[in-house]
Amino acid sequence: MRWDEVDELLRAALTKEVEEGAKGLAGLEERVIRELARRPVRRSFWERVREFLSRPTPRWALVGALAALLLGFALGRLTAPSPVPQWSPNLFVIAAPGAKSVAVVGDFSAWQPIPLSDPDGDGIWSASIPLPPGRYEYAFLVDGKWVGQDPLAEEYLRTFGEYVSVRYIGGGRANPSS
Amino acid sequence: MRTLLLSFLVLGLWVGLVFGESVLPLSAQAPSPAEVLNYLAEMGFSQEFTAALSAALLVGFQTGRATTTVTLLLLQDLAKIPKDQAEQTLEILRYALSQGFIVDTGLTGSSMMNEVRKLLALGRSGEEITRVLSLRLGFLLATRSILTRYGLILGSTTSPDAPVTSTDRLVLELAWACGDFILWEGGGPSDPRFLPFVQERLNRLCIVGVLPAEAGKIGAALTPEALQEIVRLAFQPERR
Repeated sequence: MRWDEVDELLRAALTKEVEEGAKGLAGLEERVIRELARRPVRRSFWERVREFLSRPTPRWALVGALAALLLGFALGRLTAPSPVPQWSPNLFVIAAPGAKSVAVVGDFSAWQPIPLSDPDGDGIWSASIPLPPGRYEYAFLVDGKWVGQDPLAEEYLRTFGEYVSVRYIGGGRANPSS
Repeated sequence: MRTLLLSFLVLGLWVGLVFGESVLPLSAQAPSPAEVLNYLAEMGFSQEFTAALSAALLVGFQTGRATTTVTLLLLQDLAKIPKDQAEQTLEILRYALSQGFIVDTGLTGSSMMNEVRKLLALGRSGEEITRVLSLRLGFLLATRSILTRYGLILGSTTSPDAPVTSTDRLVLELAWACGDFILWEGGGPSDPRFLPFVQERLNRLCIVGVLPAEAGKIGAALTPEALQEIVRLAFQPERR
């Protein structure tokens, strides 16, 4: 067989193949467009938010909801009975080497003893007590003995000959804190 | 849509109450009023006295003039002293409540109930406690009377049923400062340190937020004569 005959045979075969395949290509473009439309487009979060906000109905729903939230918050604040006291930790510390037990008593505990601890055994006993703003009278009990003069106190009172220490907590006043 | 808006309104209210301005409980284990009144009922006082005190305490708990935590501790303490002295102490507290005074600020400062607890912790007798408490009551009555007379506060009486106001707290703190100066500082009514002592106390309480800023202005408007009058009235009940 000659080379020009081979060319002719190949051309005929290809033409036949294309003609047969053409039937399947009918509507291919539309099918591709439909398929692309069905697939979700990967967009960033902000693009999706922008799109959401650009829709008229959800935008107003969101504005309304936010307004309701702010109104509720404002009403909640206005109807609340009194301000939240800012509780801050306050360090009560006393040097009592050799003591077996040390406690602090005061207005903040209704004068019930709150034990202090000395974990490293160096004789420095301490406790950190969270307190709201206020003026507090207190004293230490060292092995049950009243010790009313705390060097860290701001004032002292004498009650029936015994000292009581006074601390003001809050208002930006420098308080010993843990 | 309506449901969504309503939900947000409710959520906003909740957030506002929780994170805005809500009251923190004094103690997670605060006893109920019923527990306190049951304890009082078992202390063995006359039915009439118990009923009158229970009614006063209940109103006090509701209005913020007393707290269940400190009241129960106080009753437990008073159960250890002679009954007549305990009754006298409680009668002073009942009368103070009936006059609309704060007798207990909880665990956030000085007041009549904490004073009793402090004196008991110091080992003082029931007689001494009653005497101090009577004087504290005298200072409360005198302070309110003089502040009203000088036009520094409105109204010479406070309904015990009304919620506590900042004026009630001012009367308490001013009466306390006067009492501290006379009873514990050894000062006299004409002592030149008296006015600065009281003004300093009120200013500090304003700074830490216990009293509103207006209390500082009232403190500044006080005069040595006004304080002398408070002391005179406190020690002479018949003149109040």
